[in-house]
Amino acid sequence: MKSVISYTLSHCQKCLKCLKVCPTEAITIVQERVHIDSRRCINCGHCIEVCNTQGLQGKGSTLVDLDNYDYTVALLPSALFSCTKNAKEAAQLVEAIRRLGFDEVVEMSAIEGAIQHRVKQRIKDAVMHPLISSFCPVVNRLIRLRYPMLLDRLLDLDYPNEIAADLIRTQRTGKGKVGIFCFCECVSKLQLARYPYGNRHSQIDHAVSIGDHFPLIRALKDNEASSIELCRSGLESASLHHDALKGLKVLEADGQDKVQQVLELAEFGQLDQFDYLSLSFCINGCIGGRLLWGNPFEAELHLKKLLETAKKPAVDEDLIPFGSHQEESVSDLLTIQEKLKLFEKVNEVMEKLPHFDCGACGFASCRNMAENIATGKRKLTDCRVLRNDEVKK
Amino acid sequence: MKMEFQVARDDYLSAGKVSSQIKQTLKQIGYPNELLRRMAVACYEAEINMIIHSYGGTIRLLIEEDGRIQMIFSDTGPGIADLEQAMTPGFSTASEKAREFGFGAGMGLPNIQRVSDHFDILTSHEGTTLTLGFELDP
Repeated sequence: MKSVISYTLSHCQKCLKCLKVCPTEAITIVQERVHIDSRRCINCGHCIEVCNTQGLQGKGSTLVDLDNYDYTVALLPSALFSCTKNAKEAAQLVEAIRRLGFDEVVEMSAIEGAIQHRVKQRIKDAVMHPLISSFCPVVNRLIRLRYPMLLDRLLDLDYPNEIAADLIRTQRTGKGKVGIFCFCECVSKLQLARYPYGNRHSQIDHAVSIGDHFPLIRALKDNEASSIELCRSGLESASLHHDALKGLKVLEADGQDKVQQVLELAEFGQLDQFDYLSLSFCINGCIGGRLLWGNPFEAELHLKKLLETAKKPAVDEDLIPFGSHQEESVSDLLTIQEKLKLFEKVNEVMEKLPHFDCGACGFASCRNMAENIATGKRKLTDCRVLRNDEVKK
Repeated sequence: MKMEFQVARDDYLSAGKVSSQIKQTLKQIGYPNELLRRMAVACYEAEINMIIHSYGGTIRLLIEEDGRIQMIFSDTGPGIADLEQAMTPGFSTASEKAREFGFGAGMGLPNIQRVSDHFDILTSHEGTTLTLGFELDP
């Protein structure tokens, strides 16, 4: 998976805020420039949030590619509707997006609803509990990197927008070259499509940032509304509350701190009394996605209002296939003995470093710096604190 | 490589801290997942046992050059009165206070034995020493 965070040198104030906030130490400053390690970046977008000068951004596809297809479909995840106050406004949003130039707009709530039923079935069939939700790309990457012991607890269900795109493609045969554009509510979902980040396994052609198109959508919006009906369980899956999973012991955790605390405990086997861990890196679930123009709390109110009239049934759950995400696995090149030697070498270097984690060397922590010294990529004299002590002597 | 940690009696609020550090270390080194999971569960249960039942003690982590791991949990008493009973799933002598914190289900020692490759326990009224071994290819 690639990092979707783009960097603009001319906007960067070298404030080191991004370095400090990154949960996986994916950011380093090399020769006064921000460098993002794709192998470590989980696309959470925290660095974008703390950057005051738009030096870091998460951009999706543009709509110029609409012309390259015979038939174009806009895919709308339920989370987008949390930006609308009621069902009428939701229908106006759908119409405005159609006017961007699409032949068809598909809102996903009925598919997302069916996925929730699939989740329930999987939890009931499972021998080992708890299972872990597989719908937040940030959490999935975090587990892969930091909590690999829990990998086999992840649900074997793909991302809802991927499942939806697959269904649409099979149902629209005979329409020529079909182009599926998914409007994303968070930066991490931008990586899932074929464009712009090159995930060749995907059934989604283009990932589009809903936030970047907001001004245009607003300009196109008027009283005319598409006739849509929303599905309750699908809408709910965009937040933390899942009526569809009633009767099961579900632990819902949102935001970085809670999610990490839950994963730590799960590794010790201390959450085995739960059936399911529903995890979302954004506050309040996908409705807290940072590409949406509202805030996560207002979004929750809006969603409640929408639920009052959401009567559409979910699609037949047999349409939803099981199967995990396509992810390239990182191969283990070193033997455990070699890993131990390296670890001890890093520890030896650590003893010489100040343990301040000041970031002045360009690495987020002294440990990160020590790893680079141990592998010969940096020298002890690159530590600014040590160098300062040397000068004082 | 050796690491040593102290565990204090009745320090329920620090429960799991040593295990977290050990787990973090083993992850940093890069042990395989299946082994990590067994070591994490064993270490956590044994640490909790020390807090609930003992007068405090030390946890030592020994890593051999070939990658094999030993964890040694030694406390200063009061020892386990009936080891056979203690090894029976569901049997517990945990205090009311420990149970209030959600501990003391009586699965500690049986669980530890289940997930470790070598299990050795010595106990007298002067203290208990639990030695656990983990192999790379058991």
